[in-house]
Amino acid sequence: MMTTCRWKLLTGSCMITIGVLLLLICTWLPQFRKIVLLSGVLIPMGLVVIVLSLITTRYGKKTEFVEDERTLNIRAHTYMKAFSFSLLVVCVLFILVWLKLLVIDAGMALLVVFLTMGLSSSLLFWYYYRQGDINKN
Amino acid sequence: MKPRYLYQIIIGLVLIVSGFVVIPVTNGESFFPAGLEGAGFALLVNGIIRHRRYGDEPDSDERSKKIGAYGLSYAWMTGLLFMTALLWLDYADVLVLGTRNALAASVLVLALSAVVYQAWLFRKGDVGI
Repeated sequence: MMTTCRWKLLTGSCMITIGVLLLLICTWLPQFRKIVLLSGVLIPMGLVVIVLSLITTRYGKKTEFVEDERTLNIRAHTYMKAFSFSLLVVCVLFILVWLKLLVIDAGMALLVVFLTMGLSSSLLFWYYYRQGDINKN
Repeated sequence: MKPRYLYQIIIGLVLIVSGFVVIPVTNGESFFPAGLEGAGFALLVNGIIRHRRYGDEPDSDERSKKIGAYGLSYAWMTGLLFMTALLWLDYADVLVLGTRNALAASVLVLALSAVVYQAWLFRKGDVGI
């Protein structure tokens, strides 16, 4: 079983590798500047993830937070509800675009869905955590 | 028969009949009858299959609810990763998709991954934590 620190190190390394690979092949791809910008975001982000995980492991306090059955239940139900809500939003957007009631470009539509997914999961997790446990009914 | 299954079968039949009634009204130029018939057929088949499988027994227990929740959680994560990749590919002009295609792809990935994860977890027996 990999620890959280190792996962973070692996994620950081992958981000740096992808960033470097994109830099190497950027001349073959369209939109050279955007690819360079993407690499310029990925490489520092990977470095930040690696450095932060190393610092936390070396100097961070050992937290008492243990993932018990209740927390896992809350997390699973949070993502379940967030999934349903996001699917609904995507379907509504699709129908609106299909009926030409809403004119929006693909990037913006994806960004709306992306933000909906993130916000709904955060809000639901906060709500369920405050409530204490999942109401089974 | 459980009332829920009976309602599903009745609503399914009503939708199918409505679909056939609407065809001459729209002169076959609209997708609306096909949508009605599709939804009706799905409800009808679902009601019949569930009645045959479960009858008057409870159709979900603690384990199946847990598997359902975890399957949808994994599907949410997959959808988020897919949309992030799609967003970046669109931004970098590597993959240029129309709005309709991008949203349709997102719906497909979300729905199919949920089905696949739930089937996989049911096959596995339980959620391994």
